[in-house]
Amino acid sequence: PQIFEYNGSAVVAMVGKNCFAIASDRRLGVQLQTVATDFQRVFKIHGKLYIGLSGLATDAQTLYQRLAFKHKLYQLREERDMKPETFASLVSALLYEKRFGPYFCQPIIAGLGEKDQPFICTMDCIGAKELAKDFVVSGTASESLYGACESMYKPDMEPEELFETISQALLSSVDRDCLSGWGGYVLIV
Amino acid sequence: SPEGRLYQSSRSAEKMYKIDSHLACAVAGIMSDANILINTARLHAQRYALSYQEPIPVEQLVQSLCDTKQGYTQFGGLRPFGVSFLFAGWDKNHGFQLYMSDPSGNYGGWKAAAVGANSQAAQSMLKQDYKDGMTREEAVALALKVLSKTMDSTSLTADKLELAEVFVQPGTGEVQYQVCSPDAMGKLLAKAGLTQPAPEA
Repeated sequence: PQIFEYNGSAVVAMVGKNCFAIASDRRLGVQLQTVATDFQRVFKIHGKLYIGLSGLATDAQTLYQRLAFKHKLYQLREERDMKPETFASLVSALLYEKRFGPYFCQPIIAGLGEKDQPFICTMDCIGAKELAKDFVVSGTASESLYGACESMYKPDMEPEELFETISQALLSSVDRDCLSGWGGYVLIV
Repeated sequence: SPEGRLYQSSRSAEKMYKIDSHLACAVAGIMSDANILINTARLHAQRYALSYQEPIPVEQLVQSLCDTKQGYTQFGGLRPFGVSFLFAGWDKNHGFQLYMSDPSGNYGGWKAAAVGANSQAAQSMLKQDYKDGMTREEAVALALKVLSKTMDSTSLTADKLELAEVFVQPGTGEVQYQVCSPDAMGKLLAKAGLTQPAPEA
């Protein structure tokens, strides 16, 4: 079985004007069978930092729990929240530790950094970071998502327009992918 | 109380530490020993949260820390940690709790407790004045009163004290740990009638 296609997923993040949007589908499947339609793939790290994890669902949950652990300790010691850039490095390092037995996940990190500047990035399952200025996609529907985002995206969108754009991009892409869908979850910060 | 006006701490409180969102502690004794134990406590709390996906019960954390302290009194030929702690926290089994521990690793649950310099005097004062079912404001006032009477310094100002509270946020129902800001401290001291009157102009 293809391990990245086992559960099915679609996650996308976009940059707007002093805001960001992160969205995911809601389906959890076991290959062709749908098992849940309310599965959470986007997790909060702190008020201005979110991570979306596509790929194998169990790895997504475990990875999130381990990251929450590390961030909690950072917060207790530093008495502040982690910056998105720093968090991205943390995720990358965590994934590379398992270089020869990886987590089957592709994370998307979205946050507001210094002076509320939006920050998004994605990485592969062993931690290769890819910073982007406009949008990042991952999951079984990623090819459709690339196409949809590329045509619908405009820079410096306000939150309301960003919401419309990311929702339309997500919904039209998952409709072309049998493994993801059953609604979407969109978060604008 | 803070060391004096030349002391500059990068943290919000000098002798209070947050262990987890629902658990905090105050320290008396050798600060370097305390730092090691606080770190151990934080890691232990997070590991519990990772395994069980729920916050660690207060007594479990206190017990594990005291087990560590006790180990240093029985094995290895190392000296014990010179630290006493007051742990304050909330969990869903027993609600709000207060525990006191000492370098031997002994711990107990208390309704009111004091550690450090003049702690016997403070403890006996608490024994007289503590009443069950006090509100948060009454508890704060009592703590300030006891501290003011047992501290060595002649006057009490906001920069000589630290106050932290573990409470349920009225809006969200979440447990929170908050250190009192110097301004709020000043107001509390004035309200309790503990500040020195302003000098004549």
